[in-house]
Amino acid sequence: MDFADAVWAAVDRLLTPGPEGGADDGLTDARLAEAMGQPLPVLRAVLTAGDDRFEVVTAKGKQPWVVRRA
Amino acid sequence: MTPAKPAPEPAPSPAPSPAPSPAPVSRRTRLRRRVSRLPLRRRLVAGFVLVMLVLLTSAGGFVYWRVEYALDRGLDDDLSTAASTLATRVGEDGEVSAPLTGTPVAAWQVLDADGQVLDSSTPGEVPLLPVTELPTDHAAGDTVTEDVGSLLPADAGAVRVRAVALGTSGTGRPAWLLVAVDRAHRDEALRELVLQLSLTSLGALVVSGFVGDLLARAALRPVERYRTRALQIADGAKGGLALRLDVPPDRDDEITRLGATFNHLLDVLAVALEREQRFVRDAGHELRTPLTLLRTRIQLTLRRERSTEELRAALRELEVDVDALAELASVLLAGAAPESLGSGTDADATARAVLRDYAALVPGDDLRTDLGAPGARVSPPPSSLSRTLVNLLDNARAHGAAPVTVTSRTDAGHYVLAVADAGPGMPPALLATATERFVRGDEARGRAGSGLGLSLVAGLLPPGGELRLCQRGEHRVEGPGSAGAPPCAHTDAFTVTVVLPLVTGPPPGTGSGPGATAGPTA
Repeated sequence: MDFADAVWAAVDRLLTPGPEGGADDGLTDARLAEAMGQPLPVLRAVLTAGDDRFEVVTAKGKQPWVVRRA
Repeated sequence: MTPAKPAPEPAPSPAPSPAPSPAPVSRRTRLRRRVSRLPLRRRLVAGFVLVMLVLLTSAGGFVYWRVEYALDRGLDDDLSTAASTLATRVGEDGEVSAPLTGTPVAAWQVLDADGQVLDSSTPGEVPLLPVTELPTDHAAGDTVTEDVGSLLPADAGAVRVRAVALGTSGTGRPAWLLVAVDRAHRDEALRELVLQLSLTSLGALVVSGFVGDLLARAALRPVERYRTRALQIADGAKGGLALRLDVPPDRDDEITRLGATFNHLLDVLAVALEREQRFVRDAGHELRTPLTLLRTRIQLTLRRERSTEELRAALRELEVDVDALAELASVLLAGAAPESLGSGTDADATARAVLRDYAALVPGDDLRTDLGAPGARVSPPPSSLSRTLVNLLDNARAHGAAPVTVTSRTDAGHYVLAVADAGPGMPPALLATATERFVRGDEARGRAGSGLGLSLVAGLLPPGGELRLCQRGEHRVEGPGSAGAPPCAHTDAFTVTVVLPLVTGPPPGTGSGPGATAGPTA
């Protein structure tokens, strides 16, 4: 599993209802960074590449990016 | 035709020379080496005792000489009196007309030129002095004084003899009058003196050796204490380089100065080590993100087959990442490089050069300058001062808003460089920690940057320097600072101020040595 796979696995886990996640309004990149302990630019690079299972809503500046299930 | 010269025979190779025998070492050199191998304390004591021995021997010799002189003078007075009295009583045949009474003289004799005793106080005696020891060429009244018998070992018959020439010659005619006094009391006094001086000197040597040893121990005790502590530090004792030698603050002798110098050396080493450790931490911390980013981009690119255009795009992204990585490495190296304080940098000239270059990056009227401290000199070198100003300008451009205003002035012995911008400033919580490494505002997290700018500026401050972050009446001061630093004098706009002590004295290059940092003047 490379890093991108690890990121998407974490996204999937955090979007799944349960003790860790399940937010209805999606998962912010900041929450993902906090959960994975990884810097934001790295995660955004993976999110930018995209995944068929998820929809990524990007934003400019300091606005958060949001990931939802497709 | 010239006959061919025979080829020269090869020179025989020199026989291997025997190994050079060690040069003979003189006895003096051997003694010096042996002494130099002794512990310093023993050498000090030995030197002390040796000096005391020389002093005591000299003093004892002087005292002995003066006492002997005084005693001999008393004997000589007796001899003179007796000789002058007896000389008038010696007849032409050598007979003394009236014996000498009431004097301390032990014996007297009248000799002819051949050494025969013509008359004496005690008949039948041998001459008190052999005539061979008396001068042959003499005139009447000439005297010769001799000690007969040794002082040590004690001689019971020791006497002091004076010979007086009577002026006649020939066999049977009186030529010399010999007068002798007993030396028993004089010799006894001198022997007692020698004994007393010897005992006293021996005692003094023992005491001086003991005292010298105590003094040497006391003097070298701090050295041993320093050595033990230094060994603990070197062996990684708990506390490591934070440990210091225990130097009494109220003393200023050679040993305490050595300790203070060693502590200063430890300070320098600690700073260097801290700088090195910080560099490693910073490098590890900061390089992790771009390196992960690089790896991630490569992994994403390799996830599926890519067209040439997609590969070009990926490479362009990687180039941007590598550029950012290189810039970050530059920042880290700049923060790790030690800065030496110069003898005086023209602060406004350096700032003007930085602003001239920087103006090319800033459009129109977004950068305003008002440098009002011509000729002001500060201790940081130009490279350090330039880096400071560039970091402040970068921060203002990245996180503030135009216009950015740069001002300078001198006040109370300090150079004050301020960079203000029209942005909203920092949240109070961020203002309190803005000079810590890797601290970044929320709005800055999505942008390029390392969060090291203000920490680098703070790290470049010289002794007595300050970094002030001010906005709307709130002031945060960072750096060693000094009591005489001038107060802030700016608007409510977000302003970063660097306060540096002015350097006094002649400017560098005038041949008058380095300048001195001005003390507080307020």
